[in-house]
Amino acid sequence: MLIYEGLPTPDVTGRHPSAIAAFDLVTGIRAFTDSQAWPAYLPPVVRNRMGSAIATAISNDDDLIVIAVEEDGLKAQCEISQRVKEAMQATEVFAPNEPVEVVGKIVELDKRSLSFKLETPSRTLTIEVSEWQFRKVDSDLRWERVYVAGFPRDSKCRTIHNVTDLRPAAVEEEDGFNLTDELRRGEKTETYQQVQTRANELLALDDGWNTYGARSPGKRAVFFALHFLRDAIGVLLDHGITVPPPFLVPTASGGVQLEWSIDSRELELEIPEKGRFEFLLVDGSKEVEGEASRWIAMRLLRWVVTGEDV
Amino acid sequence: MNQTASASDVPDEIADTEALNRRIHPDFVRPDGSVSSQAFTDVELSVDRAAYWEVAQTLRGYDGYGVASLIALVARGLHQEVVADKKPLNPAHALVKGKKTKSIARALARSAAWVAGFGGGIPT
Repeated sequence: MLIYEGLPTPDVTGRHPSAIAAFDLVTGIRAFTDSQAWPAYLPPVVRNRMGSAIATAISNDDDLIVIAVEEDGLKAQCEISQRVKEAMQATEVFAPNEPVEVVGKIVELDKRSLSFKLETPSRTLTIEVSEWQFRKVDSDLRWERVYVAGFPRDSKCRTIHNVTDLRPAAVEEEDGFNLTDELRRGEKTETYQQVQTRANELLALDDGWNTYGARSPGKRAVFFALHFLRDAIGVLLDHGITVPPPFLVPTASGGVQLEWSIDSRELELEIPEKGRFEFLLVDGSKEVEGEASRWIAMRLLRWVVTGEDV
Repeated sequence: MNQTASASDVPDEIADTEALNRRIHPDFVRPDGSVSSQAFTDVELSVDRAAYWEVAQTLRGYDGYGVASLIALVARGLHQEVVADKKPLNPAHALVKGKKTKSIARALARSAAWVAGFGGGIPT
């Protein structure tokens, strides 16, 4: 038996980050055991690492790892059997007949094989193209960020061929593979669609729009906010939590702010630029403000929606 | 109010009780009619002194905007400096100067009262 106890984290208010992660892990594995489907908050990259870590501990069919977590009297438990371990270790599999979309930067061209290398956040892929597509890459898209749609040549999708679309990537398109269906769920919600409509309106604002010299909302900040909201909605849905529509407001400095007001709780989540969050949390008469990581921003959103301690 | 106030008619000192009008873009207005804190984040927040500048003058040329009013004392209580900043064409112009943390911007927004709404009405 291995017992782990989280050390105090004086700079972090609310629940211990390790406890939050441990509960997410246990509930995620339990969700898989019950439904045979992995929740979005345990993506392959996380599952695979866990699967590797426990590989040697489970070698026989009747071996079992039990993970029990407890925090302030709240308990949760899951079991990892040989079958669950294999499911955790399973890498993402690409079917050759299912199209993939990927956004990345062209880093290398090979005229002889009519292919180029595409650098994405997780890995570098080979893209095989036709002669005219290669000419287009060579003349117009060299070293650019591009969007590619095609089909995987192998189950790990190291190479994409039969390219059906190849063009410069738009600012709002994220680098990497197309989203999993789980995360795309966020896009289908009314909350997301309302905010997306509003975001498109805000993108039409010109510099000086507030008559006091405000900058127009930057595309990168707006789409970062939308992607964050989409992902947060998808993850929270896995926990049975529905995110109500926030008010999306432009900032004078060219960013945007998401605002929620629920009962006595308020959250202002400002995105001054892509990748940055600043927040103001109001809980009755208590106010806290500061900068937040994406992870903290997600926890703050969960707090304002549910009132749960974060 | 004095629509033709000249610079000499407008005192340099701003009394604590003075109302300070700020033009509000409709995108700052929440569905419930309240103003977002983002309308009050400028380090030098431009306002018109209501006692010397009519609301109609603040809105002139800006159809579709509203006007929200702050009280000088409230801004000063939030560690803001409220100073006259007379302009040739607007002697009643003033500034609410100071860093606006998110908490201060929210407090200013919550203290703001509508004095002119969009299209003539006052948002509820």
